[in-house]
Amino acid sequence: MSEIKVEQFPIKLEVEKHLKYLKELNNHQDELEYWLSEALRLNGIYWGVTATYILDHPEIYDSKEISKFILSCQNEDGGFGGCTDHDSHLLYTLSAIQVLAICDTLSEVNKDKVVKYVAKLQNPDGSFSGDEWGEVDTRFSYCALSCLKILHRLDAVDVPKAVEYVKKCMNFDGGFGSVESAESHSGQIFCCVGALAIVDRLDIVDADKLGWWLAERQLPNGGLNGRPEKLEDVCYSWWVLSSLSIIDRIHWINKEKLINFILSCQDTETGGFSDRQGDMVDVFHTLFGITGLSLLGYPNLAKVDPVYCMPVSTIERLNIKTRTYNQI
Amino acid sequence: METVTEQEWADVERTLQDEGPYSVVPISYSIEYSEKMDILRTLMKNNEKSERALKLTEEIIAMSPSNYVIWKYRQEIVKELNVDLKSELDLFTNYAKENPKCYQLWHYRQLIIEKLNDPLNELKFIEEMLKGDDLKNYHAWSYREWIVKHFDLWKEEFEFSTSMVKYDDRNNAAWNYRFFILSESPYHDINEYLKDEIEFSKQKINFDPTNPSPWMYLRGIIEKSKYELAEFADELLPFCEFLQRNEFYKYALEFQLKVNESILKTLKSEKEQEQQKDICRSLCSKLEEYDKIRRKYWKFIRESY
Repeated sequence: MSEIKVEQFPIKLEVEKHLKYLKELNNHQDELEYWLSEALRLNGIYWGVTATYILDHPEIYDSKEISKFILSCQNEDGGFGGCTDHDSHLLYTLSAIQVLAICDTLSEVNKDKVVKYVAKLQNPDGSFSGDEWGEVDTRFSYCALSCLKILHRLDAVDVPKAVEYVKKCMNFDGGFGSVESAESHSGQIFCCVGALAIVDRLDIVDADKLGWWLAERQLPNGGLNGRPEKLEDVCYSWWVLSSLSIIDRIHWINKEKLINFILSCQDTETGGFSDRQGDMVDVFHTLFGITGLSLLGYPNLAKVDPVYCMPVSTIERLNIKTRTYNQI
Repeated sequence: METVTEQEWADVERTLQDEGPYSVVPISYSIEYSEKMDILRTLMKNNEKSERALKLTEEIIAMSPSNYVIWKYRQEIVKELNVDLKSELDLFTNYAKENPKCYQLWHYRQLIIEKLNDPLNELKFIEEMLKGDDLKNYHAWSYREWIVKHFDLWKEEFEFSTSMVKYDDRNNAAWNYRFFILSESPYHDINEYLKDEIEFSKQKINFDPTNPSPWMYLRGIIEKSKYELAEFADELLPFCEFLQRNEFYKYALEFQLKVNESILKTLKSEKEQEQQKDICRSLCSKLEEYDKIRRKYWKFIRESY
């Protein structure tokens, strides 16, 4: 395994600028309309906090204050809303649990209530709804299983049924979609492969076929797309790369070209990453640019776990490691 | 759209958003939106289900349709006030056109249609959404699959997939849909269609051998049928070779490899197997050369025989 060196690439990772960007998100209000709506608040905190940990500068945010705010978003039903006074949803419940886990403040949350909330969202066919409104999607299978595993409470749901549903969403090309028969999509693949890894059922995946489909996502400019004939996007460096890592096929793509692509999506003046070069930066793409680089073995970054998208140090502390994943 | 006026909402207290003591992730919506949300929070707390609440939810949806909190509340009001669901669907058709990637808008349609137990003109609507915005819109295709399954509307859909593939043969979503029809529909037997589908894929490949979708479809449809790729070797290997009489095509080489791997599985004698493995290895070597970015993948496959 050749070691990645900063000097190999025409531009370097602008760590200081990204930290400044993350710290000063308050001052970027006009630029962040894409994700800055209150309903997404907890996701935003998860993206920002995780990014600072992978940049190895967790001190950027005050974890006590963050935890306090997160806890204030828990509702009577046990789930978390996207912000205070918002209805519970699995997407934000997972973000909340992830941030508390990263900040090591999980002991402050009423875990039984969270577990009850998540378990209630499992449907008879094994799938999960995102909230009581009922939308079903393999994203929610991942959210539910990840959340319960972090809380060491997988026993609260029917895991074989959950696996059965994810399996039904596997396609002829080896990939997975949002529901049965839906087209294979890199983001959904991450959710399905991640969910299967969490419950130790990767045997279901046809790793060579899926690995081929994922490797096919790399375009001549080094970037990765989400589906055939779509444009490259930094967030797919995470969805595709983490999936390849989980099935042990990360070496099938060209890492130098991908690192180059990810680095080219930084705004070297303001900090932050955009989906592709020249677009507006946001915290979502900033996280996935940084986690992608970490998975690719870029120097001086904390290691990220491909299954949970949290720092490896957190996963080790929680004692929920599925196994050790090789970096390239 | 009317803005929030002091008079209209004079009787409603404002429930302000708690930003938390340390605003890690700030909120940047307009003052108008924020005022509407303050009022909405109060209405939700009081569980008010009224015409004005209905109107307010629409105003907020118009500004931020992906704010998931609004939708469940609106649904409850609609139920309470007995709002005509067809007009509700019509109302949101325009918002759907403006926000074609909004999860909530699609899910809301599905709930209404499920409740009405009538597919109405949704197939037409989806077609318009695909053609008007993004032919690959993931939500639109998934929703179409749901409608077709739920209301048993399979019969015309094979033709629809043909028209969509013809409309843009690089639209992988349309190919995936065609595969869905032939593999799931109770009215279509994949084995009966196989011969025609091989022909259809070959036509599209001949037109543009660098288009990945028909190659993927061709392989998928044969593997899904009762046959093996090897059983079509006499037809498909010469097809790939003829295609590459002047230059190599990555997907053609890949396909040749898949057919040859399928043949390998049928061979009994070790000598024959070894010869067949040589063919596979040499195809991998070519792929290492012509698909440089995935060189390590092809090397892995070559060394795996």
